Parts: sequence; structure tokens; C-alpha cells
Amino acid sequence: MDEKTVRGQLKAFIQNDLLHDPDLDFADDEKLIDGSLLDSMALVQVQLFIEEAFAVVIPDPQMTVATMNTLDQMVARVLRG
Amino acid sequence: MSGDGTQIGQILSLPTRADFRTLHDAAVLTHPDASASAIIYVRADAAPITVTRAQFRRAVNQYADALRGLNVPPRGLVIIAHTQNLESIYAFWGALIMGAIPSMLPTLTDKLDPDIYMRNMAELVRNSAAAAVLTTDAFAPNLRAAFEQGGVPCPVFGSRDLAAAGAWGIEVDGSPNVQVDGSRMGQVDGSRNVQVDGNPIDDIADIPNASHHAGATQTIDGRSISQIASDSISQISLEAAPQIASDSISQINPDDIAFLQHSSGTTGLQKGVALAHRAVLNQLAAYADALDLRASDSIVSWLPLYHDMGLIAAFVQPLVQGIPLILMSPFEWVGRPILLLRAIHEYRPTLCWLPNFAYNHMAARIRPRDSDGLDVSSIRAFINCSEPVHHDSHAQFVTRFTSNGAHWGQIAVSYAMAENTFAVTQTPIGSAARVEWVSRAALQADKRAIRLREGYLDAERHVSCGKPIPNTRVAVVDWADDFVGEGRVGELVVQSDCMLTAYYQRPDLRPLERGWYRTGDIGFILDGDIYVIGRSKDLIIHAGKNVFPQDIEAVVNGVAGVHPGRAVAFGVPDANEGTELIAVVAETDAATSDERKRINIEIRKRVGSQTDVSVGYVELVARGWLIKTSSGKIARGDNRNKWLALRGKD
Repeated sequence: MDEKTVRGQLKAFIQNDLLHDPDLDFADDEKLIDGSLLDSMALVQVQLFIEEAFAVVIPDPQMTVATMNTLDQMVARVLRG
Repeated sequence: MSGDGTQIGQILSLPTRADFRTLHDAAVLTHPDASASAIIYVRADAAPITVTRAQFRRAVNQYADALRGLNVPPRGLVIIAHTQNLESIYAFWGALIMGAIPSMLPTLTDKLDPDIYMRNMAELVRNSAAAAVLTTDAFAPNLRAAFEQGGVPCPVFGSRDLAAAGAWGIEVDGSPNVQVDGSRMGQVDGSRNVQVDGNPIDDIADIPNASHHAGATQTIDGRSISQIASDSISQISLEAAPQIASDSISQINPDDIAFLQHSSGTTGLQKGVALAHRAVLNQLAAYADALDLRASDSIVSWLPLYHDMGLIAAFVQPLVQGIPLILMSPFEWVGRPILLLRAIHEYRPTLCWLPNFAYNHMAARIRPRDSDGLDVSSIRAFINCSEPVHHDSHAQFVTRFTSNGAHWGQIAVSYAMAENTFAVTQTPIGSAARVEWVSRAALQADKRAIRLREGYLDAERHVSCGKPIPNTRVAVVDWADDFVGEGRVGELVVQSDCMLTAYYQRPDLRPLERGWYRTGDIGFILDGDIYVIGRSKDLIIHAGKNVFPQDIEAVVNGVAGVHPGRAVAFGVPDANEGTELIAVVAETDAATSDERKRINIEIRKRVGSQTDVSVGYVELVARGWLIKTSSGKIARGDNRNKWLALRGKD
């Protein structure tokens, strides 16, 4: 898995499925959850998407706002495997 | 129970209603078997906490003493703005038994702007002349400062203040307390923020005297809840379970206000639905009949306690009825929906209330490997309540969890509202809620519900909400306010013996017209069953939460680049989520894509941080796009239709 693919797929998922706007180009360090762009159900959706798309299983206790707030953080977590 | 010669410890139902005078007769406070479980508090990353009736009584007495010690006046309004935990529960009942009027309100979340939250709270406290606000230690200083700044003369008490006043010598200063980072609570209540520095936030719930019961996390097939409970109280002396002081009971009359349920809304002008002891007991007696409630029932819930469904169905009801409540934090459940199924599997509860989106959330987001082997067949009814009910949501849920013992016989529906205490209707328990196919054209054009056979092009499916519970009447009025009969579409109006007394401190508002409460919901009656098909108000119901479009529009109008007064918000039903998503359409002159992106993101962020709901869709349009009424107001319905057509969603 290269970083560019992970970033691209995660971003597309967030744009299409969570923000319902494929053209909304948010910054990679934008605080998505505590910045109020996404709601509390979004993290579960991100977690399941990461499992499906990249076969990376992130344990529930690690899915926190502090650790999964930005696209950068999500990408880094996926790449750690 | 105060009646003479009656059997002590029986369910509050229509035949036993006279034995209950006020909520002080609740079984949790009076039942002779003090060793039974009152509450089992389930947590994501920690052992569950079992609270027996004896422990519950001791705790609420201590909270009542603490509130008296802090000079909270009897009949004063006590706002509880807490993380959902046992402490907030004890505070509620402590206030209730010392004769004050408790009301649960949401706590500050990660997403909400703390300044706006505190400003709204100050306004609510001022308007309702609250006597005290109870909150976490972390948040109390900030709220106190906000009140001082705003000239609101209302004391704010944190957990430590109560512990000091109640002198119960618990380790409030220990690890459970939440850390503060600057002006807002650290990670309290963020969707997935279960832990702060390794300590589960809800550990704060340990006080006072609740015993940990580490063993209960294991599968305990075949063991009853009372068995589980008796394990955990071995170290508790029953002498330590004082009865509630009789002097405070005698001072409370059935027509006194017991507590308030606050409506949603972000303007600080939330209405406090004031419910008398008599109304609450009438509701519970009638609802027990509709549910065929038995002493062997138990209730499982993740619902917030500041909402009528969580507060009445899954909090006041089990405690008054003396049936066990298995409770968890809504924030933990949203992040880990499997928690509910695990709790059902372990504790074998029989009743569960859920908003419609929860069926979708669990069906779509619980992994098979997590649910494999869990058994939900103990549930007599999953009762869908508090937002529009969709057959597809039920179907997804039943299909997904068939192998776990879910079946259509568990699928029930209730139509409820805070003004009627809670339930207005209930479908029969034990069989699937009825579904009717009716003509869409006839509903819209003729305002009539005409049955069609399934599959007809024009046929639209509606799930029944059941018949009114005993002593509640539902009627339909047309646009001229005339009562109309079966099969005619109009506004639903309600009359009952469990209606609110008033909106608290709002003599300007009259809840009833000619003895009826206008619900604002549009529906019809067919064979005595109530069907709700829409709303006359523009209210949006998002994930079980009432959202006023005016509140969203006010925020959007403040975003730089949006033409003030040229924004509209409305709800868009979403089949995947099983709820309405919030759409915003705003006029702007911004032409560059960078500027439009900034406005788009700014709208979403501001609405999220000021109202605690997320915007699903933002559409920026050119000046003049929005349709106005002849009086110059933005027409929500017309603009909604125009946007749906634009997005190809109509």
C-alpha cells in the first residue's frame, strides 16, 4: 500500500460518503471530527472503510477523536498496519 | 407504597394506580427487596457496575442531603448537565426526593463551541430561574465564570462540592476525574473518547458505594439478573439502606411538578416541559398496560437521559416499576453499536427503545465477527420511537440479526412526545407493527388514506404506530381545525391524563387548545391505528434529535460570504442512515473555487460547533436562486423541492 493510494481512497470516501460532496477539497490536516465537519457516527464508518479497503483492523479503543481527527492521522494509522 | 392492604412490590398498572401517590413511591425507593438490581451500568472498556436498590437508596439520600446542605431550596429547579453516568442519576433522584425539580440537559461535547454552550446554558438558567446547576468538576469553574460574567445568579456545583456537602467521603479526587484542557472539558463525551489518561471517564460513576462486579463481563448464560445482583451486594449491609425520610414525602403533592423535560433548540429558549407526579404515574400505569409489563421484565438502553425516550421509557419507568435497567453511555454506543447486543446477550433484558436510525446503524456497522454467537432472543420488543419509522430500517435489522435470534415479532413502534410525558401510542407487543400500503396521490391531493395492494405504482408504505395507550386520545383535525374521521389526513391532536402541567416559567405559552395538545405532526387513523406521515412544522429530526431549521439558518447567515437572510435549512430523508440528513442551501456571490470551498467548510464547522449536529449537504447558489414567499420570506418547502430536483433526489 503506498501512501498516495491510501490518502486518495480515504479522501474520496470522506468526500463522497460522509460529506456528500465529491468536490469539497478539505485540507489533509483539517480537524474533521472536533472541527465539526463530521459527526460522531463518522468514526465508525471510517473504521469499517479502512478494514474493507485496506484490510487494516483498528481496535475500537484506538478509534478516538484525538488519534483519528485528520486525514493525515488516518493515513498514518493505516500505513502502520 | 402508600395504599392500605395492597400487595407491596407490584407493578404500577391501571389496577394498582391508586397505590402510588407520587414518584417517591417508586419501587427502587420502597420495594422491600432491597438486594435486587436497580441499575447495571455497562461500560465499553471497564467492568460493569451493579447498583442494588439498597445502594441506590443510600446514594440518592446522600445526594438529597448534599443538595440541602448546599441550600438548594425545595421546589427549586436543579439543572443536571453532566456526562451520562451514575452520578447524574443519583443527582436526579436526590433532587426529586428532597422536593426539588430536576432536569437533565446535554453536556458539552467535543464538537460544541464551549462559549456558545455556556451562553445558552446561562440564558436557559436565567429564563427558568434555576436554583442550581450540577456538572462535572472539570466543567464547573468555567460555567461558574460564565454565569458570573453574564450576571446569572445561579450556583454551579461540581462533584466535589456535592461530596463535600454530603460528607460521604468518597474518592472523588481519585483517578476518575476528568482532566481539563484549557477552557473546555478534555475529551468528555467525544464520540469515541472512552478513555482519559487510561481512566474510563465513566469511572466517575463509581460514587458513591456502587460495587464493581468484574465477573459480570463474562458470559453468564442461564443466570438471572437477580442472581447476578446477589453476587454483587454480598458486602452491603441492608441496614445501610435507609428509607426515604417521610417528612419530605408528605410535603410533596401529586400535582406538584416532579421534573422537567427540556425540548431541543439552541437558542437558550428551550421549553421546559413540566410534568406533575400524577401525570408521570398515570403515564407509567397506562404504558404498563400497553406493554403488558411484568415484574420479570428488564430494560436495556443506550439512550441519553435528556431526551423523553431515554428519560421516561428507559430510566424513570424501570426505577419506578422496580425492574432492572441495563444502561450504557450513548457516546460509547454510537462508537461501538455492538455494546447493545452484548448487553442483551449477557443480561437477557426484554424491552429496548430505539430511534429509527439505530436499526440502520447496527445493521450496517456491526461486523458479523463481532455479533456471531450473540443472542438477542430475550427481547420481547425493540420499540421504534422518536423519529419517522421506516419499514426498511426494520427489515435491515431483522435480516442482519436473524441468526442472533432477532425476528419480526420483536418489531414494535411507539409514537411519543415529552408533552404527553412519553408514549401516546404503542403497537401490540409480540407481533410486528402493522404495515399499510396507501395511495400517495390520495394522501397528497385528497388528504385521504386509501388502501392499495402492495406493489401498485402509486402505493406508499407506512408503518403503524399502534393505538393510543389507555387514557390517551388521539384525533385528527383538518386545515380548518375541524375534527375529521378515519382515513382522513390532518394534524394529530392529543388529550390525556398524563399531559404536561405547563411549559416551565412560560405563562405566555399555552400548551393546550380546547383541551387538546397540537402535535404538529401530520397523520391519519386507520382501523384505530395511528399513522404519522409528516410534520406541519419545519422541524428536522436528525438521528433522533429535534433540530429547528431556524437555528441552523441563523448560524449560516453569520458566515462571511453568505448573503445574510439568504440561507435555508431542511431535512432530507436518507435511506442508508434511516434518518433525515440536514441540507443547507445558501446564496453567495463568491466565484472562485477557493472561496466557495472556504464558505462550504465554514458553514459545516459553524453549524456543528454551535448546534451539535452535522450538516449533510451544503449547496452554494447564486443570488436570486432561493424561492421566496409573497411576503418575502424564504420558503423552506419550495426550496427543498427545488434542491431535491437539482440533486436528482426527488
